[in-house]
Amino acid sequence: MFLTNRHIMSLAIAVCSGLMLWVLPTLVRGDNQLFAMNATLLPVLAISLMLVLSAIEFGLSVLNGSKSAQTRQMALDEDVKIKTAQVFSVCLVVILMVLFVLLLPKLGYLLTSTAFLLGLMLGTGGRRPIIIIFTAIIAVSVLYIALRYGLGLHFQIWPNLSFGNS
Amino acid sequence: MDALIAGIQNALSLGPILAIIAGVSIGIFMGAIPGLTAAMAIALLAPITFGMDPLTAVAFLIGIYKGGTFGGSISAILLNVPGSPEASATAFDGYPLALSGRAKQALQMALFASVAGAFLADMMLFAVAAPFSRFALKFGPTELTFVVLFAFTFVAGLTGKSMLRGMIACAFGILCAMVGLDPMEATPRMTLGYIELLDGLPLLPIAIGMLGVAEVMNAAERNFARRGQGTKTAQQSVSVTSGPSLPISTFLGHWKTVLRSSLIGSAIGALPGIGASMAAFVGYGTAQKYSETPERFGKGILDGVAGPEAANSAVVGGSFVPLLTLGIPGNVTTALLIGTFLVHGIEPGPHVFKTEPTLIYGIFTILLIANFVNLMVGLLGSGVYSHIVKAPEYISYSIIGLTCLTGVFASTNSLFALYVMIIFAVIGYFMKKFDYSFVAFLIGFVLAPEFEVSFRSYLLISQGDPIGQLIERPIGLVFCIMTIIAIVRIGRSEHRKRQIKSNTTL
Repeated sequence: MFLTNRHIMSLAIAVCSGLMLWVLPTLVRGDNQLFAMNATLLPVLAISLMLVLSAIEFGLSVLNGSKSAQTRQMALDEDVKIKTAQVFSVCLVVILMVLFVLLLPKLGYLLTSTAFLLGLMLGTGGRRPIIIIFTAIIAVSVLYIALRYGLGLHFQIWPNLSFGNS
Repeated sequence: MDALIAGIQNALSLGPILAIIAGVSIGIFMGAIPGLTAAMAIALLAPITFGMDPLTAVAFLIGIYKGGTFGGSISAILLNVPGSPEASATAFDGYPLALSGRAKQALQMALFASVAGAFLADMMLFAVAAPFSRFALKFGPTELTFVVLFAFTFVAGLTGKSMLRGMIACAFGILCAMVGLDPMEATPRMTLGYIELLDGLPLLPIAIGMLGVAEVMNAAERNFARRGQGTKTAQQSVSVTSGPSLPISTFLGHWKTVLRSSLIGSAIGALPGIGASMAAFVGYGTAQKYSETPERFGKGILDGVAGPEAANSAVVGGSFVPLLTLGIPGNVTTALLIGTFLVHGIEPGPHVFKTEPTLIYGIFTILLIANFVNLMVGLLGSGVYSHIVKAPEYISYSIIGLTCLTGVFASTNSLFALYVMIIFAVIGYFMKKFDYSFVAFLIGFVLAPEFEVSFRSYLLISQGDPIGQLIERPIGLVFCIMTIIAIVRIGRSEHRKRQIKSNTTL
């Protein structure tokens, strides 16, 4: 069968919606009968809509793709190519942000933010060490001063040395 | 009358004026950087308004909205890179003007047309909003259900490349908004045992993730792609000081284009889902249609800058009509504004004209003042902004990434909210790649709680006969018919487009 990434995405949404519909009653406390006048009503309608529409989209595009070589070419032209650059960029930003969240309570705002900024600038194409370090220090300082003295917010700024108690 | 005078007095006090100046400056700054929009600026900076009084907070955000709309034209004219999607049409003639040594004239025409368009739209809002709100007071659960359903259909059908995918995105937004306590029975649902989710998924981390962090991912992707190809991108820049200034008489000579585009922009702004980009293209097309020299469009003509700029700026005033009178946001920016209004205890809708008339007239006055501030800041800062658009991508996007994290943490003081932001950034990134409109998602997310209450109330009132109840409520019936017509028309137009495309492929 002729499948593009768009087809796979539609199929994945339809399957996930189906699964969600199946487990929904276990996620709602109290009266959880599906399609009844209770807390499940709108979630069920939204999931059903997603299920039906993605199934229609999948069906229509597969049907169109199998019509002729031209329609198949059109589907290929409209397809979303998943490139290594996309995977790397998502992984880079997600890993740096998760590290920021994990390290913030341990290292404090100043060190974590500076490290995050250095990592992101290197990851997004920064190559001049002096500019990168200078920009990171200035940006973190400005943000901290604006938040602390401009808005009166209190952050833990230095490392928490009382390990095990946090 | 007392409310009007009090509203004007409040808006003219120091706090709101300073907030407008700050907002407009930041809006122009953010709008001028390619890839960053007024919506993103509002999402990033909304948390800092939580400590302000409601009018000052609204003044700051309106300033960003107005400044951001004009800011997009700076990079469109100087670099041929639209700072925001609605500035794309401005680049068609703005950049050729800049190349021919008339950059300053193009920038000033963009600024004057933008301010004039926004001013005319605000005056129309002033005239239309109050009477319309009195009409909207007649809306009960039946009417609200079908008005919101109409808004969902319009937004889902027109904000992306496919109505089906737009509707899927909108339904996903509604589903995400259902997390937390059920508003009618206080039953926890889809919280997965997390206490933090009892209040529902927070709007700001989701909006910041989908708008800001997803854009940082795009910047990282561009860098990886460039490295893979072994190329460096060079941006061609044009001096902002090149060429003579624009005489006021020349600008006034284009009054017909500005007036026409302002009317188009106001009307389009009042309809949910269409947005400033469409207004700008329609404004450009109409300017060309009525021009005496249509063949000069695209080669550098001032009408080609005035048309789209007046239209996209007029959308701001137009979009406040459904926002303030019905509580329905027509685009991402107004969806974010609604979120911030709610934080400050302002619930937009027909009742707000009765309960908070002073605040409403204050907002109207702020909208008008923001235009003059936009003009002032735009004229004074055009030299500085031209340097901003040339800032290296790795610096601007890295700082945006840190601002996203800091903004969410500062506003929620919760690491959980940061995880929500990261998850929705990944979702937003792939939604954009696969053309699932994140605008439809966000509007579905913002409107779903109100929709749920009115929809379930409508079903309760109807006592098992929803169609009979609908027939008894003519306004609801009209919106129901309009929803069906919109679905059919959008579906047919998409089908036609596909047929044309397949014929050209053949």
